[in-house]
Amino acid sequence: MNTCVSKVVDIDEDAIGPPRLEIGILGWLKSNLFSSWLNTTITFICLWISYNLFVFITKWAVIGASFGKAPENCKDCSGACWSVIRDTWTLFLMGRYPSEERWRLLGILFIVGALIIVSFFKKVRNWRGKYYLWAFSIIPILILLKGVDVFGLKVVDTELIGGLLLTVLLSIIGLGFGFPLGVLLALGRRSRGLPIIKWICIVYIEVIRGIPIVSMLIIASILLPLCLPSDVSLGLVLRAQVGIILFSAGYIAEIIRGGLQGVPKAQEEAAWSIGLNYWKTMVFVILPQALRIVIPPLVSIFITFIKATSLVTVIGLFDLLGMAGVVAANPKWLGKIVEAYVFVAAIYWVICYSLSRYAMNIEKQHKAREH
Amino acid sequence: MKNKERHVVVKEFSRFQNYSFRMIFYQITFLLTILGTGYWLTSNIIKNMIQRGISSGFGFMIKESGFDISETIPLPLIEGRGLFIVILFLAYVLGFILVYWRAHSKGEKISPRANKVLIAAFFLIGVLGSLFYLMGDSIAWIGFSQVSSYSFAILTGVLNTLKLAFAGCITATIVGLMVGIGRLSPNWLLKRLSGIYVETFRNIPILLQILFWYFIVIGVLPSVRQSINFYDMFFLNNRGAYFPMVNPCEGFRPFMLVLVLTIISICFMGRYKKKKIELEGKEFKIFYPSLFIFAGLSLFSIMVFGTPISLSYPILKGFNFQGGLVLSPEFVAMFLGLVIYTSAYVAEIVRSGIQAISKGQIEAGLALGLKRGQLLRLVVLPQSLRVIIPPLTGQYLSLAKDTSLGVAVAYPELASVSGTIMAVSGQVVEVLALTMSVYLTISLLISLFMNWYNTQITMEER
Repeated sequence: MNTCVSKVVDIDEDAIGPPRLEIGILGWLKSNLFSSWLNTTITFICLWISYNLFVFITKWAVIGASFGKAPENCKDCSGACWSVIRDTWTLFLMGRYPSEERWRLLGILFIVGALIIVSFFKKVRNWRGKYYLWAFSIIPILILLKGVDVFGLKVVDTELIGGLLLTVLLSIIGLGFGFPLGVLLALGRRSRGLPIIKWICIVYIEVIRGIPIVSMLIIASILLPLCLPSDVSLGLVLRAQVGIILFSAGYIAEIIRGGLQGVPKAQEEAAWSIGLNYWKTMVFVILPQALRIVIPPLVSIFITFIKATSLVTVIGLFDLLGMAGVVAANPKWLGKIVEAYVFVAAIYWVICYSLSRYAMNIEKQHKAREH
Repeated sequence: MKNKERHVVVKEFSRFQNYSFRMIFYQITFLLTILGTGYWLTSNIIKNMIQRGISSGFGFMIKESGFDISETIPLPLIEGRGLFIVILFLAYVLGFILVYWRAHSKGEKISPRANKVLIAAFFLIGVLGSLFYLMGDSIAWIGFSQVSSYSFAILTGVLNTLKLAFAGCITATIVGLMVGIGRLSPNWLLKRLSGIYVETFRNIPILLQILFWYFIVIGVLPSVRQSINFYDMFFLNNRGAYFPMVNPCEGFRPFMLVLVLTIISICFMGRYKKKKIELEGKEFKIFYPSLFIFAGLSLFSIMVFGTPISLSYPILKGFNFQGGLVLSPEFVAMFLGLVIYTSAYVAEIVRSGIQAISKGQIEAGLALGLKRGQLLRLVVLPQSLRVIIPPLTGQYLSLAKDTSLGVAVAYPELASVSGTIMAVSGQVVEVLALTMSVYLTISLLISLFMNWYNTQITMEER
């Protein structure tokens, strides 16, 4: 008799567990890097690229580099010559700001730092006047920066300000003054019953957004002196600043217009119905809500302008990027421009990346609040 | 009883309580302020210009420029018979556009009659275009030189700008698309690498990147004699990049005709395919038939008229390479900077566009039995394009504007050519006005085109 007997083996399933290739590091590797033939090929190509990049960068920036302070150290090194940076970093950070007045820059940093720390306290955060605090801090900062004879501070020539200091100044003042102008332009563009004002605002905004910032800077540096009476002369820094303010106003106006559109119409109607006039409606009801919406795009436009201020190099200012050229033109450090560019790029990157992270965080918080 | 008296006084209405009066008053005041400022500025300009002895007006535009431009694009100078053909061709193009617009403005769907008109117009343009090519002998191609006028210089600058912007937009889109898809890849390493690419190049100013590449090309690449050699075809040295160049031969014009015919036949087959799917539900593959037509026709043209193109390789003669296609260091630096910077932004746009599609759509497509390619073409792309196109337009616009950074590396595009003209002629106001209006026109054209494209893809929405 042929009977088919299947043998039942008693297996303790808990003891065996899932297949080893599906869990832990091996499982992760399999699902993320080697899930298919194509995936495996991509993984190897990527490994090859990142290995080569890593080797190249470490060889250039670390192994073959020289870190001494004197130019002689760079004579026989195959990689980067970081001595340039060690020797000239003050030039990159603050230009040719007189060295005996540098304590004033520290003072400015102290003021800004104090403001930031104070802003962390809940009492200050909930205080209405916090914006005034920030806005009015600009006065002591500018006094410290430029110097006023009355306080016994030596006046520093604006042309001496350079490097990162100039970049930050141009972008912050550009946006600070461009912001109110942008708000007015946005309100003008959305105004009803004022067609002439509306059209002038539209033309201004669209022209600004249609031309490159280089053109605007060239206009500011060449056309502006022609537009003023011949006995008035503005420094190049100031002219570039005017150009950046006029330029940023157009971009900010469009962002704020987006924010204004995001405020429900009922808000405006409610404000009218309790008897507020136009400006009160805007200042106390509409704008606070609109501005809250546009904080993330405003931060990203700030990033854009930090990057865009590097274009003042074109009209002959020595901002952070312009300083790289200055340093490499120095006979002592002739031709060390790659190191200078890499250093400058690193500074820009750190600033822009952290700001963009900040903008993303705010956006996340807003989204969380909405839900 | 002073109180009583006060009550009796009727407050006089001021005109300012009238809404429309107030509005008109504000506007007139504003306009007067603007006009006044404008008048003040202009009068200052005129005073300053008289002081410096600069004459105003656009009369200088036809004067001889007297400077050189390192990179010129030859422009057709048409005479005699060729001029007639060009005018005819332009008239047909205009007519075609007019008919197309009228057909579109009538209704959302084109009527069959209008469609026929369109196809006829298309034919005529195709035939005329090839005719234009066949009679191209009467056209002289001239490039900018010292004896050319200022207006020719501006035109050369505009063409260089357009060349850079066009090449940059297309390449940045392709690279951005690849990196953006890479960021969504299931492969962890690829995802990270794409992320590093985006975050690195997005956060460094574009001018810095351009200058960096320029310096790498000029300062790090070897001299002409030691140029980096790829298979004796591509060369790389500090004077630029050298590629083999395609040159038209005797068989070139017949071959163009073949191309036109192929395109026309593909259009017809496309219509046939659509009909067949709609009426019979059968799929008609047009790839192989069109390939067959193309191969047959081009073989015929090559056998009868000779090869259409020949390759010319760059060859080292004396101190420099001769022949082939040369990309100057300035162009290479500008191109690399623009493409890398913009593609990082495009990648983010593509990523957010693809992520905007709900997962259910893809699952539904898979459930219907679509293949991967079909899924991408029929489900994913049409929906994500709607999200992608508006921000992509912004990127194209900023790329076109960023070409003005050619000033920094002396690439002769519009901004840097106008800078030279300003320095040579002293006509600051006119040149700036002209430059700005050209940039505005380019911006306007790009946004018009992209808006048109956007309406084309959003039409399907129900």
